[in-house]
Amino acid sequence: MSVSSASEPAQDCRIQTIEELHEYLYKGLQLEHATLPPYLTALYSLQPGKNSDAWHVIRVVAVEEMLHLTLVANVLNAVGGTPDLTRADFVPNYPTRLPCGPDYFDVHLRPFSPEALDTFLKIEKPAQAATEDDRFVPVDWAALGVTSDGAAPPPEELAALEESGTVLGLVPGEPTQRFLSIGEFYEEIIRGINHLEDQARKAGKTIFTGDPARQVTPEYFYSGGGDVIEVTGRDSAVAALTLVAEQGEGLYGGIYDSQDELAHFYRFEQLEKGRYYQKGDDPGEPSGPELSVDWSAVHPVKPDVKLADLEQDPEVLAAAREFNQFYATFLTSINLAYNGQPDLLLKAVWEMFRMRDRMNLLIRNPLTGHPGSNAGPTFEI
Amino acid sequence: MTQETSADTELRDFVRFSAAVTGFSEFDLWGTGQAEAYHRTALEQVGPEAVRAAMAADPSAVHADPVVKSIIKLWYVGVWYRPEQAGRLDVAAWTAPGRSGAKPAVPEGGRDGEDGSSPPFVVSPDAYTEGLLWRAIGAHPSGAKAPGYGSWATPPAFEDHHEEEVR
Repeated sequence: MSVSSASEPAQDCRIQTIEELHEYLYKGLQLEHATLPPYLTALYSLQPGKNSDAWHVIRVVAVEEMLHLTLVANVLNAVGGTPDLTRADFVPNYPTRLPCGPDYFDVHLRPFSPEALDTFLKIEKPAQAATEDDRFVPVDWAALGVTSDGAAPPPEELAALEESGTVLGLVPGEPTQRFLSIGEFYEEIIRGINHLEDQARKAGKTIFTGDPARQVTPEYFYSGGGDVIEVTGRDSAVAALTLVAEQGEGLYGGIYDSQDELAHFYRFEQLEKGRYYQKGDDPGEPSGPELSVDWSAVHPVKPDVKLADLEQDPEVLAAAREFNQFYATFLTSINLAYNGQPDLLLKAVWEMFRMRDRMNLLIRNPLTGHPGSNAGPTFEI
Repeated sequence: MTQETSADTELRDFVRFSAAVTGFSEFDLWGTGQAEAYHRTALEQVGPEAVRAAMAADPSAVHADPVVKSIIKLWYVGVWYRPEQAGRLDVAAWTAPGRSGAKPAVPEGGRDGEDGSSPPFVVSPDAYTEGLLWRAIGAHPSGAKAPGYGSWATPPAFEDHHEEEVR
């Protein structure tokens, strides 16, 4: 994606008020989080001791999505907003849909498989609009299966749909349109920040009015991939949002981001191509060591498993319900961390390990009445 | 993918039986990810007939079938002990660092080479981590299943069934 800087002339911008900016950033939180259940389901579907290449690739990407969530929260806090990961429908009811160029694609909860890898590549795929007009696309409601005649659903239904995260990438406030790609969504937020900050400065003010104590700073973020950025003004806000976009897609069409990390799209492509990238490689042509993927060493999690699928297995059903409660509580504590208690993130890491153990238990349990399928976390929050 | 096979049914029966004799739920046993490996090990080591007989025995009987003891021990420590070894308490001699798969620290009857039978062995790389003994004592396997950096500074997180007893 192209990155706007303050020196460029004012561009057409949909974000005209600070409230609209807050809403965009909330959708950013919802979007970043929505990638985690699919990534974690695929990660823990891998049988232990096998597929270590795939395990490491998916794990790194999942951890960096957690970084993205934190970066978006930092930007929202810096502009005086209030992150809320506990809003109804914050967690989508899977499958959800994401935009990728002209089409939408479904994002399922499913085990590691060629289909799952294909979805992951689409989630992270670079897609930059060729022209200003291409950045927005009218939503094709018929293709999404929302209405049969292709007309937009009635206003209340539309509002509920927008809130639910069932279809991600809609234009906040104008949900009959959507962004061409996630990259363009973040581009719009950067434009909005520049526009609102320019206006504020003319009046001798700033939009960066948030309490600095609400920032998640590096000492609270435990991660190997990418550094958390403390957002204190326009430059750091743009840097944080740029990192979110380029860690997925790469910088300026290259395979690395500005922190010299291989971008997610290319990390996943390694699994498809059976070979690692190394420094100096061009996109699509990894020349590093070979790697192998064993598609069969995977627990066959039932795709988009729901509590209703578990009714014949009372113990599994109880554990899946407990997991969902645990996850809701976990989101509440992450939310507290993003609302002035960043030290809670350290403790949240321990909860993530427990979450891993709970997911593993579910994923290894076969389902009665669904031969060849295992249970999994349903993420029905 | 659509029909449950007889192998699936046998495995499910084995897990159901194992739940009765280990005191853990079927959900917990499947959750170890070791059910298939343990079932296969028991079949290979003592044969289908002996496994079937063990599963038919009364698990509450004091003198339980020695194969039952082997299966219980397998779930708890991840090591297959032949039925005549299963009552022994020298687990540490076999699982101490550097000793896994080696000869036992203490002499015992039927050791490898004397009667052609094999010594106890760890069934899979994950069997140690997944042993029920860790959950039974409310701990994590040392060096595996990390509970998170610094988590040792807080009280242990007991599972529900322990919580009731502790309070």
